[in-house]
Amino acid sequence: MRKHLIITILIAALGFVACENTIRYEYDPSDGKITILGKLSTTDSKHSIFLSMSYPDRIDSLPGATVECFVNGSRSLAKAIPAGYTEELVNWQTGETVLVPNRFPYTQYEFEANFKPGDKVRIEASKGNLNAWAELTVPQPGTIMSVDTATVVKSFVYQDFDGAESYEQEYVEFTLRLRDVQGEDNYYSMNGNLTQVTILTSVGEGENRVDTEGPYWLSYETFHDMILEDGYSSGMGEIFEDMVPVNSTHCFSDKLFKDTEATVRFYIPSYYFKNYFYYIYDADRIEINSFLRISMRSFDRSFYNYLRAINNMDTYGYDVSPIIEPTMLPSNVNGGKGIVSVAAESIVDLEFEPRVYYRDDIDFPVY
Amino acid sequence: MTRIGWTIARVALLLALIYEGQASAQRKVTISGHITDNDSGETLIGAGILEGVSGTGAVTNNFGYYSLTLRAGEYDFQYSYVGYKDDVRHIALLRDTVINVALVSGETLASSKVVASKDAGIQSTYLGALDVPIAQIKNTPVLFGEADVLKVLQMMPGVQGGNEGFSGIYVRGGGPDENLILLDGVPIYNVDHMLGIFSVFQPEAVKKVTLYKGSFPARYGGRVSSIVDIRTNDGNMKETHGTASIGMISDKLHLEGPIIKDKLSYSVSARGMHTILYSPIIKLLLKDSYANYYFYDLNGKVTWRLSDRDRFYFGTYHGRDRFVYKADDEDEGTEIIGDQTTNYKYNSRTEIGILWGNTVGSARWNHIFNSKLFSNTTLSYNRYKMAMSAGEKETEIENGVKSTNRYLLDYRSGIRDLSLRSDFDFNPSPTHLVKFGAEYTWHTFIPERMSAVDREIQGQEVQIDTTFHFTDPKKVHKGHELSLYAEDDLSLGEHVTINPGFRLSMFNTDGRTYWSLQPRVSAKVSAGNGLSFKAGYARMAQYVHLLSSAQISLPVDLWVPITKDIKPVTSDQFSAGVYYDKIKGWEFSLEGYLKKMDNILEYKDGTSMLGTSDGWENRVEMGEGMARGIELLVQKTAGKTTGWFAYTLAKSDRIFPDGSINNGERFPYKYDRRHSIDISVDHRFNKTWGIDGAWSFATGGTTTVPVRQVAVLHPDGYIVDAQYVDHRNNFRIPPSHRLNLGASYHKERRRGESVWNLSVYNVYNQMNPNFVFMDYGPDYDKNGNRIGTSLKMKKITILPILPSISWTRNF
Repeated sequence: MRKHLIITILIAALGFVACENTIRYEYDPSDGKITILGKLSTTDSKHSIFLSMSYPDRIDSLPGATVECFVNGSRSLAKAIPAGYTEELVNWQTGETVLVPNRFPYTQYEFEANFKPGDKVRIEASKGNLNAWAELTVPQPGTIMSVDTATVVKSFVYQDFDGAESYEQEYVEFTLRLRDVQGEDNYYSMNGNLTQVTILTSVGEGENRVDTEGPYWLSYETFHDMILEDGYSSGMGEIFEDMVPVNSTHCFSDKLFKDTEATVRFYIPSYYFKNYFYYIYDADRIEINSFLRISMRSFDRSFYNYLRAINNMDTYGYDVSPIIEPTMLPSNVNGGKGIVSVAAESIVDLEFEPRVYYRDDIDFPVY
Repeated sequence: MTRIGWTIARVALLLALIYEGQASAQRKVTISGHITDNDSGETLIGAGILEGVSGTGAVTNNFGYYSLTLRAGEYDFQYSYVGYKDDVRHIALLRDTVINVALVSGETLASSKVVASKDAGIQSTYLGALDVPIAQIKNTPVLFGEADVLKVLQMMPGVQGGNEGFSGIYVRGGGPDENLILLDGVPIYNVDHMLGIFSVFQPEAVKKVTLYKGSFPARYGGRVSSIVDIRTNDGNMKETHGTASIGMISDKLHLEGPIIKDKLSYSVSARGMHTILYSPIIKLLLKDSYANYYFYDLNGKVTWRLSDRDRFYFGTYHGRDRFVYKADDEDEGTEIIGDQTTNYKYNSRTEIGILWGNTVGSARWNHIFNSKLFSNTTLSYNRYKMAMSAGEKETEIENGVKSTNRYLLDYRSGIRDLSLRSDFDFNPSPTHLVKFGAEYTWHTFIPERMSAVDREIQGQEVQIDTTFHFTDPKKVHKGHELSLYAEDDLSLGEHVTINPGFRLSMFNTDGRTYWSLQPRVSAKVSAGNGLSFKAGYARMAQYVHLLSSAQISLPVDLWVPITKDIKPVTSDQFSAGVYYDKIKGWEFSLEGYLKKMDNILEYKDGTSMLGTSDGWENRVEMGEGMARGIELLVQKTAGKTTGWFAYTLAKSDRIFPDGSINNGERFPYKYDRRHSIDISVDHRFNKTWGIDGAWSFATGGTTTVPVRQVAVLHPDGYIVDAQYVDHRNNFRIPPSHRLNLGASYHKERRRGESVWNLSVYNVYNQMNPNFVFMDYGPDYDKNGNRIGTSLKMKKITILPILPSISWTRNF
């Protein structure tokens, strides 16, 4: 079962007798606007800005643009990162394969700057007669006062005819104590970025091989944490994942703990921290070292609205549907589209006990 | 007795007679009674009684009752009603008198001049109040030849149709939920069949349709944009009659007649889609899969004239739409992989069912306390129900081991209203008609209840047996609505009438009580020579909302109440107009209005009926709406050719200041149509032949389309493509227009008549848009190289030219 099945059937029933025609719609395919996307933070000194050209019918990358960052009037100039990918496109008539240099419809620019709360930041992009900019003030950071972890087993209310639980899942539970920024409306997101350093040892080869993965952004479960869910639902299981919007971007406001402290919890499945199957054929001994950076990012209202819009798009799709009122993407870019945020971060770095697995002890999956 | 004594006695007697004569000449007495149809005994609503010398008159109320107070004396009273022969009676009115009059039906639609203030029309004090003759509803050609009350209302000025060909009505910039549609005084929540292609009202059962869209009478409340008051037949008190009709989509049967002549009558109507009857055939033809949709309506009414003072009415309506879909799939065989042999047998069944509709029951008591005071007390029950289920069951047997997987999704919503209402008409003098009353409604709302069962069994082992509740299964919203009202239709001299009134309503829900004082006033000034002017103001309050996210009427559109956080919708409407009816059989009106609405609800951007676990309240936002317009109506009401020309210039928009919708900027309403023109003509050549035509033009409404492609930054660092929408309702749909034509042939039979009706919907096959959407696709050059993305705006037309024929037998 998938979302809106019923509605689709009803509309499809009407469609049996329907005629489809093209109607006049005039647009200017050359009406391009610069799109600036940037997710900057006070933690980093090296930042990326992604530029693209938004047209009515397409998105193009934007090489050769000038990107400048002004922090309280001081200027940093960005440089473009060369495209690292090519894409094979097949001519459907001739069968000929052509290589396209950049499959991503954006161009990445990097610059160095240090931000601190209260700074006035202006990101400006221009090329030819096109110019777009975003101006914002770096907000004050909220505070992660403490983090506590525990391994828990969640039992999902599944019951069989004998009353026994039929499904369980092990999670690492993170209990955080947060403090809100005083005296103003604040908007946050809670992020977990996992880095794993895996040391692989094979008998007879003499030396260890070290494989580093990440950092990559982890999604987590909240299980009815009112603050972190921010009015969205908890996950209802896979079969309903595209019917009910969830807070996939992990944004939240301080409306439930304004000017005070609060305890929140989120849960990351344990298998993220014992991901040995990937290496099971490579080594006799697998040692997984997990480093999790928990960051509470504080940003302005426009980026919060942007993240909430993405929550809806993640659920209902990134195309406009005739059934659902469309999602309007907020933008804080003048003269163009896109979003730029500079987040003030409160960070806690966690290092987990190494998990060691021996090949001889592992039950190999049978295929 | 002496001579002197006799003389004194004679003088005393003479003085007494003179005094008596003077006293009776100054004493006010009341003539009252019911006006009915002579043949059927059916009460006539809006029939007039006119005293010609003074020009004083009255009209019958919704139950055919009139009351007129005059000085005692001798009068000639003219009783009249459109389509009936006048009945003039000379009556010596010395005391309160009851005169029941039965009017004889005329051959043509003669015009009727009623001086008394009517409830609707040019002669009414109210603005924007229209009576829609039921004959024109039956004759106006519409889709599939199915006469439809709401589709004729769409052709009135100030009333916009929703999606092309569908029956939703949008009055003066309001939404479809802002219309109080009353069936014999009981609100009907779901007024559509077939996603809105038909309305639930059977013209055969309907006696009177009145639309109010301007200065609303105080006796109506609960919606902010319009009142559609539909009254049904009481049933023939004289003899049994009926109508049977076979149409393209549905069949109809109507019967009415006396149970006890002139005392007790019944009226029953039934309508159903053919597919109800064809269902077994469809099942036979479609072995593996079966789909069917049908709707039906049942109307019933019993009228009991207990005495001249007391009448009872018992009415019921039950209507349903139902869609079912079943599909079976099975597979059986042997699979050999290596040396492993697997015998398998698989079958699955998918079932989808949707059911929705209303059930209404009412008991009504008319009581005449005296010739000046009439009361109507109504006890009613109203239920709207929507239930939707979708399930799948799979069974697989592999080498004798059986596994089953069953999934069932259940989604339902509903409303139950229990209501008690008392209305009083008080005629203290010819210059006053006071109406007052009270109403209490106990609402029970179940806006949405959604659950799912997922069960998986392998062999003897249960793998999953889970019930999900997306919403609290026990959560209902209770609401108590109490209203008091009073209004007086007051004549200030010969040329001025004014109708001041108020409605005080209270709604209690979730521990919070909302009060609303709604002043209403309208005034009419007759300037002579058929020219008159009106102006009015009305404040309205509404305690229920319909949440709809699609462009058609869907069963999953949610009726929701106000809550402690969702406030009542209110509207303030100012209107003014100029009217002219000097030319016999013609009426002209030009009205303008300005309406402001507060606390209207819309889904927030990116949300719809299926949303977050914390309920619909978090998916909607309250905002403001503004509507203004000018409406011209030219009506020909009498003669062999009747009809109207209506033009509307209108603008309607919305704003949600909190920014959750359209970034807080004002945007046009979905059905903001700048220009609308409707022309309807009905011509009767003779008793046998008649033709009808209706042409409609409307500027397109608005819809939301993406205006560009844009890159979106996901917090995990990925950048994805998305369609970028700059504003809600940012695209104006092309205008739509169509011509419908119909011809009817009446043939007298030994008993009754038969009628053949041929009609053609959308005669010149105009491809009017029902839906528009943006179509993106790869664009190639002539060598097949992809050169970009093509972008086309496409429209879907559901209703091209559609001829239809129907046969009706009246007996």
